[in-house]
Amino acid sequence: MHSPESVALVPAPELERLAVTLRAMPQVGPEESSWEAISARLAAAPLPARTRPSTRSWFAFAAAASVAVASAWLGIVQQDDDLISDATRVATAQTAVTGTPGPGASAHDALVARSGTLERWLIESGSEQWPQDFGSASASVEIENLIAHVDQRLTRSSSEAEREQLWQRRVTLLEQLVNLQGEQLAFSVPASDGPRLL
Amino acid sequence: MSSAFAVDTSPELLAGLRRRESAAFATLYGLFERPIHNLAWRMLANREDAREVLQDTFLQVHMRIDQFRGDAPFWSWIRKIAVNMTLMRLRSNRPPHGELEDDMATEASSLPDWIDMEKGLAQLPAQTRSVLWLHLVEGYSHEEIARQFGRSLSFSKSQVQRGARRLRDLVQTGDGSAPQTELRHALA
Repeated sequence: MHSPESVALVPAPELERLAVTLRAMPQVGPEESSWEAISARLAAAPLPARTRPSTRSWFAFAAAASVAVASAWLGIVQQDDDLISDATRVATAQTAVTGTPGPGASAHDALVARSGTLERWLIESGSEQWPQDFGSASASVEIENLIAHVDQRLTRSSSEAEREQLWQRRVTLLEQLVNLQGEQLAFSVPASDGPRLL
Repeated sequence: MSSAFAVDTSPELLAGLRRRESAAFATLYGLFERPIHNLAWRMLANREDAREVLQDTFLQVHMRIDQFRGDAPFWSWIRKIAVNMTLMRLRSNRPPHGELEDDMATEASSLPDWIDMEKGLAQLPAQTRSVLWLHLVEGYSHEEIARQFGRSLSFSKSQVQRGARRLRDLVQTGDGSAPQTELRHALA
C-alpha cells in the first residue's frame, strides 16, 4: 500500500519539463541600476579579509565596543561586565561624553541598545564554539564580514541619518546572525540550557 | 542545462578585480546584475531584499576576490556567494512563507505572460520555492542543497516534490494564458 506521499510523487520527466518552463521565465533585473550604490559601498569597503586581523577577533572587539556604547548611553553600565576591555571603556566613555544625541536620538539609541543586546547574546552564548555545518559557518563568516563593513562605515560617517541607517543595517545583520546561530544551538543543546535573548 | 550565471570572464577582468579596479567591478556588474538579482528575486520574492542581495554579493566579491583560486569557473563562485547572501536573508526575521503580499505577487502584472506562474511561485513557502529554484533552475544537487540549508538529503527531495506538486495545483487553477497552457502540458 502506498503512502499519500508516494502516490503523489512527481515523476522525473515531469520535473524536467517544469525545470525547462521555469528556466524560460524572463529574468527579473532591478528596477533601476544599483551600480551607483554598489560603487559607493565598494569605495568605502574595508581591506580584504586576509589582510585584516581575524574576523572573529574584529567582531568580538566591535561587539564589545557596541555593547559598551549602548550601555553608557542608556546609563546602565554594569560593573561586572568582563567582556569589555579597559581601552574600550575609555573610548566608550569619551564617545558617551562627546556624543550629543540629536532630535532623532531615540530611534538611534534604540537601535544601538538592540545591537548591544544581540551582541551580548552572541558573546554570552558562546555560539562561536558551537559546531556548525558548512553552509551555516560560511554564512556566519559572511554576516560578520558585512557587520565589519558596517562598522567601518560607522566610523567614517558624520551624518545622523546615515548613521541611523547603518545602525539599522547592523541590527538586521545581527538578528540574522542570532537566528543562524540560534538554529545551531537548537540542534546542539537542550532548549533549557540555551541562553535567553531579551 | 545552463545557468543564467554561466558567463565567461576573461583573465584580464579577474586581474582587474584582484586589483580592486572600479572599472573591472563595473564590467562585472554589467555581466552579473540580472542573474544575481533574478536568483534573489525568485527565492525571496521581495524587491528590496533582492536589491540588497545584489549589493551584498558585490561587496563580498570585493572582499574575497583573493580567495578565488580558479579551480571552478568564476561564475559558479559568484553564484555561490549570491546563494549564500540570499539564504542569509531567508533566515532573517521575515515570515517563513511567500505570502501574497510579497512583491512577486503584487507586481506580477508587470509580466502579463507569466502572471499565473509568478503568482504560483509567490504562493509557495519561501524555503520550498528556494529549494525548487536551486534544484530545477540552477542545477544544484540534493546533496549541495542539503549542505547549504544544513539539512538532510530527504529534506531537499521532499521540498522539490512538495513545490512541484503545489505549483502544479496552483497552475491548474490558473487563467489559461498561453504560457500556463504550456506549463499545464508540461506538468500533465
